[in-house]
Amino acid sequence: MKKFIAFALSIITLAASICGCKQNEVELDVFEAGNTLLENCTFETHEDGVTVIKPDVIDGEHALRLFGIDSALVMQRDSKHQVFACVRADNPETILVIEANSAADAKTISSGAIEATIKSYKEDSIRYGQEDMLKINGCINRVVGRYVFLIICSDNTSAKKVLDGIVSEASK
Amino acid sequence: MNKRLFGLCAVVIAAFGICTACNVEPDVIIDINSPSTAPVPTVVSATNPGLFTPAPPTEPPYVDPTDIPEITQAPQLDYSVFNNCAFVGNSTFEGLYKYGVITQGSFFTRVGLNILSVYKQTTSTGSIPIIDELNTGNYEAVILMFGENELGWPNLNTFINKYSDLLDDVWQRQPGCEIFIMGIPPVSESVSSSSTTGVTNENIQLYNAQLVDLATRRGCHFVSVPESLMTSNGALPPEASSDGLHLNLQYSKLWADHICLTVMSVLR
Repeated sequence: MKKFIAFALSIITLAASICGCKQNEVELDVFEAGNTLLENCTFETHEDGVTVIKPDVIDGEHALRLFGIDSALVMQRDSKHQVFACVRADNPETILVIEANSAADAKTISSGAIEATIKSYKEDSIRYGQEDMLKINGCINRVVGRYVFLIICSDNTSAKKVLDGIVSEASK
Repeated sequence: MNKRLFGLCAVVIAAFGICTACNVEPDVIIDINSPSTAPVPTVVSATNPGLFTPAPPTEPPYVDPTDIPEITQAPQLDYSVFNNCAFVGNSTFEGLYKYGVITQGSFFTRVGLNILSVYKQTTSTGSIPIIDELNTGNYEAVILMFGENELGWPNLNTFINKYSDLLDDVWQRQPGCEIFIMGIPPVSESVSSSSTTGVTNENIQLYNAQLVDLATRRGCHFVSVPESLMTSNGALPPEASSDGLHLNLQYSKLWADHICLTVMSVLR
């Protein structure tokens, strides 16, 4: 009886460990995630006050240069860096989704290049109005596993929920 | 007993080993979200209207139907003409680079840069005044974008005189280079009609006329504003910009193509 109980506990422990491994893994497609954010986050309207203007998607390789991100830290598939980026020239609204090579690389990108970008935007406050400064100050710079997310939009609170949903879906 | 104990330990160790092999690193969610520390500036709206006056229409010359002109092809765009160029200027130029419309050459730009602060301000990643970025490198051409941030200056001549001084400082650092002076794009009807700080299309037209004269006097090249960036009233089309000032991606490409053709006509 004791042997049986000990064996059963071992099996249960083993099974729980394996299940735990799978739950903590996040796998997502940066382009799908980026487009979901682009579609569901709130952005500034045109000067007509009605038309919503979304940031424009830019080339991923150029995005790495633009944000000062070391391309060696970024995952490549079929010779293409896994980067989704969209920006606007007239305000700081940005969506940036990056798959790094590892969680450590993701933290490096987030605390390095992304933080520097945010700091640069804050220093350019001469250009940005009060509304834009609120966007920058409340922006999302988040690391989830080996993924980095930068979101600067008109409603960062709602954007966090959208991002939470993406991460939750990717964790299943 | 020892055998049983050994077996139990082996199972536990195996389970632990599998767990480790899964490389379980809990997804670390780090919100690096500094509280507001930057000063919130006072917004000064741009007002003052102004309009471009388009050239009066002229009758096309008579063409003899028997005199069939030789068909000439439009020049092919070649953005590699920018490879050895330096772009120096304000947020208007910064937008071209930000969108990835022009990625060739070297960009030395800063939001809010003007003809005076070019001697003091750095780029967002640089450490020396932007004008001194031209101390290194050997550029075939330097393309200058100034004017939008000086539209509110009380004296247009001051702007032109300072611009002329800047030309000398550019040539001092890059002797013999071609200099291109960019025309200032129009702003939207809405911005122009509501500006109180000189950001009007009428004022822009005055500035551009003086920039043409400056370029001619000093042996530089003026890059005009293409018609694709203007409505019939000489304003920026509403679909060209979300804030009436800065071009969106689509219109940035139109403008960049025009710049490319102009630079090609000189450098090639």
